[in-house]
Amino acid sequence: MSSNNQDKEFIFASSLIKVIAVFIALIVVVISKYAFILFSAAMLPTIFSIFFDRNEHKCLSATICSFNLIGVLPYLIKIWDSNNVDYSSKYLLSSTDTWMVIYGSAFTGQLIYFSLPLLIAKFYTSRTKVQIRKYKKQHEELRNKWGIDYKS
Amino acid sequence: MEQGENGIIPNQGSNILKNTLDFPRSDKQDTVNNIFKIHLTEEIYELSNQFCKYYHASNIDDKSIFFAIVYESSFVVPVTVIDSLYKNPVDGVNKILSWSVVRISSDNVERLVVIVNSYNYNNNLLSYIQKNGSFSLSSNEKIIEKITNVITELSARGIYGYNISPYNILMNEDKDTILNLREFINSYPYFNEKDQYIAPELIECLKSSRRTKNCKQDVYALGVTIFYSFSALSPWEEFSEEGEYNEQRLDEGSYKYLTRKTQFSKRFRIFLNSAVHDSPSMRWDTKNIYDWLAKKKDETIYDSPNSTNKYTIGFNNQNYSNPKSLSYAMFRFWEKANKFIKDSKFMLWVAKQQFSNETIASIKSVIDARYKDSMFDTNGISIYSDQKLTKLLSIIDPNGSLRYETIAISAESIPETLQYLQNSKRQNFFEEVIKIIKDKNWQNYTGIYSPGFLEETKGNEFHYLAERNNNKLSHKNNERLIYSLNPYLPCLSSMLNGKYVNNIKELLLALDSYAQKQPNNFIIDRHVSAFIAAKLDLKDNIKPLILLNFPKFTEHHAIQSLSTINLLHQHEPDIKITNICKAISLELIKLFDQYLHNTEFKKTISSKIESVAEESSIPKIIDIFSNQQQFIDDYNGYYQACKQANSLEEKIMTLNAEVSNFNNAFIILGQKTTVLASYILCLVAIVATVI
Repeated sequence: MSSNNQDKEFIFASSLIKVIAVFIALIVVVISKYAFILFSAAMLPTIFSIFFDRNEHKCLSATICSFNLIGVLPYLIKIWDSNNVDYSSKYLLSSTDTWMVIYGSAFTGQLIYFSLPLLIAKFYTSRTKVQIRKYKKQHEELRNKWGIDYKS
Repeated sequence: MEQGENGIIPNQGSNILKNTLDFPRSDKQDTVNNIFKIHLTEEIYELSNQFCKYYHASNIDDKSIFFAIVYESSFVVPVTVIDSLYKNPVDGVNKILSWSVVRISSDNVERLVVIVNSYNYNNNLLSYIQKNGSFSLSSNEKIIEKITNVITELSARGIYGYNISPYNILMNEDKDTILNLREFINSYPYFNEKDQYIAPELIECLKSSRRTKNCKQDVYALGVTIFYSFSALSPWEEFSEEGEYNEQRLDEGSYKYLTRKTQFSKRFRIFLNSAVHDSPSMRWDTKNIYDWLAKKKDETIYDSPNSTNKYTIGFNNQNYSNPKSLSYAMFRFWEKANKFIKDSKFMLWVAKQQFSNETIASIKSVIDARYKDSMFDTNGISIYSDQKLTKLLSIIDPNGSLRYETIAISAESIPETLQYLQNSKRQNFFEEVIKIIKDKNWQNYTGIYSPGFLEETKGNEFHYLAERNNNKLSHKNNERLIYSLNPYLPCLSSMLNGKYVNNIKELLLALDSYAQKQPNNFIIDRHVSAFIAAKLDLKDNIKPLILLNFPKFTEHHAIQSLSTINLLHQHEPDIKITNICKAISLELIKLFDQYLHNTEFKKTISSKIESVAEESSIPKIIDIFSNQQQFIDDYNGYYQACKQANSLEEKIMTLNAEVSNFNNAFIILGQKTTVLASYILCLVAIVATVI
């Protein structure tokens, strides 16, 4: 029961970032349509990941969304700080560096998503195996000292 | 009785069952006392039987021919009789020239061998009469005199049961006179005899159980032999089965039946009537025969009291006219007899017999007694319900044998009977004999000529040994009872390499020799244990000396062997038992290798045993185990270690299961961690950008 609750809470948490992204999109659409186009195009990895995310807890899309936002938020702040929002938006839209940074950030998120869980699983397995080896050594010593036969 | 040191108790007050004779031993194989060479290729099949084999033997010096009797080990050889006849030969009995324990090369086993004069066994009274016809009365009187002399002399030595029959009376080659009675030491008394020579009081007995302590049976056999010698008649051959002849002679009386078709002189009838009288107490003894030979006995013939009885009784579709014949039939049809005695006609028949009032009262009280498992009392003698018929038969046939269901025996022959039954694997009969002993059935017989009679001292000894074997020992050990009752029976263990072992000293030497040949398989068997217990008169089984708190050790053959050998060596401390010590040490090392746990402790104990074994000292071996605490520590430590090992095994199993089953959980955990990390990074990025 508690496991189900935890799952629900985590699904909610993983959805939170996407809600924030939508909220930012709504603010951006009010400020400038060019800025909105920039934001929408920048968030394409997130949009795709939402469609292709088969994970029970939607971790893939949440991770990509986070990294997507990390990549896009500095540009949105830059647009917000500029004197001419539309101009700044058009400028950033046409800049290759902008897209390299934004999509690079999303790609990094995806890479981390695939590698970090494996690393964590490996870490735990290794730690358990070390424990097993320790117990086996103790068992072997006892067996040799007292002539205990293996059960199997 | 208090048990002494090492479980030994003093003798039970008599030397009845003690082995007091030293057996001569021959060093040379197949040679008796370096004088007589046994020719093993020349067996005399006509004389051999299941208890011994006859071979030709010759004097090494003058090549004269003799007979060698080579006994089977399982046969209870009448050693005291052999020794007596060897030291003091009896005129009229084939002479024993030598005897000793000899290793026989054909099977490499030591056996008791007796050398007797050779004879032409085909030239005997039976064959002579078959060929030449009967003897005259005067010739018969010579035979009677010679055999009576034999009976007299042997009876004076307490030797009875001479297998008297025409076949066993040897004839002189060139005269019509008898030479000798054949040696009668080749079987249990009358084992191989035809029924007609067996006295009526012994007729129901097992073949192995016909030994008595009086000469009346031999007088009967002499009487029948002389009847045949005088008449050349054999009325017993008219019957297809011996049982039918027995019924007939018991019903009519032996004398009447033998003489019914032929007229004999009065003098001969006087002899025959008294020599083959059915009642042993009425039958003549040797003194009467001498009187008859001296013509001092010419009184009128008296009939057997029962043979004139006109009152018959029907049982099992036959009529019986006297108590003896009815008893014989009741014993043979035991189950039917149990029902028959409840019939009122039985008591009516009893009333018409020549029984005393006291006897009739006894019969009535036995019949009226209820069948029950508990004891009831009749005339002051306590008996069980399953003894009802046994008791009844002893009353109506007071000269009979000890009868119990399917078995009848003479009381004197109980020791050899038990050995014979054990050897022939007749366990049911064996148990019945034990029952007879435990019930002291011989107390029902007071007449000294009755086969059921037994002296009180001997009876008590038998009873004591049987009771101890069945009640006090942790398990029944029939061998032990047999060795106790038969002091001259050699140890029949297969681990003695065919050695003839008759005392503790010989046993130790034989065991040491066995240990030398088979050091890896030194296990004291039941026969050796029983033999020791009997020879040392141990009250209980041999108790283990060491590690008493550990049943798995004390019940092990190595520890039992150690305890047994220690006991033996205490009795014969001068004998070197180097090989036994080594063999036992090997067995102990095997034992501790199997049962001790701590490897270090195991090594220590093994090395100690190995070093002490070289010193050939049983006490030093025992001393190794004096401190039981280290064995207790080993035991406790092992179980503590087992617990720990189990706990570790469980932990390992749990962790192994985690590794395989929870790999997915680690992935999910990683994914969630990734999401969390990305959120934190995102937050950091926002804050950094804003600032």
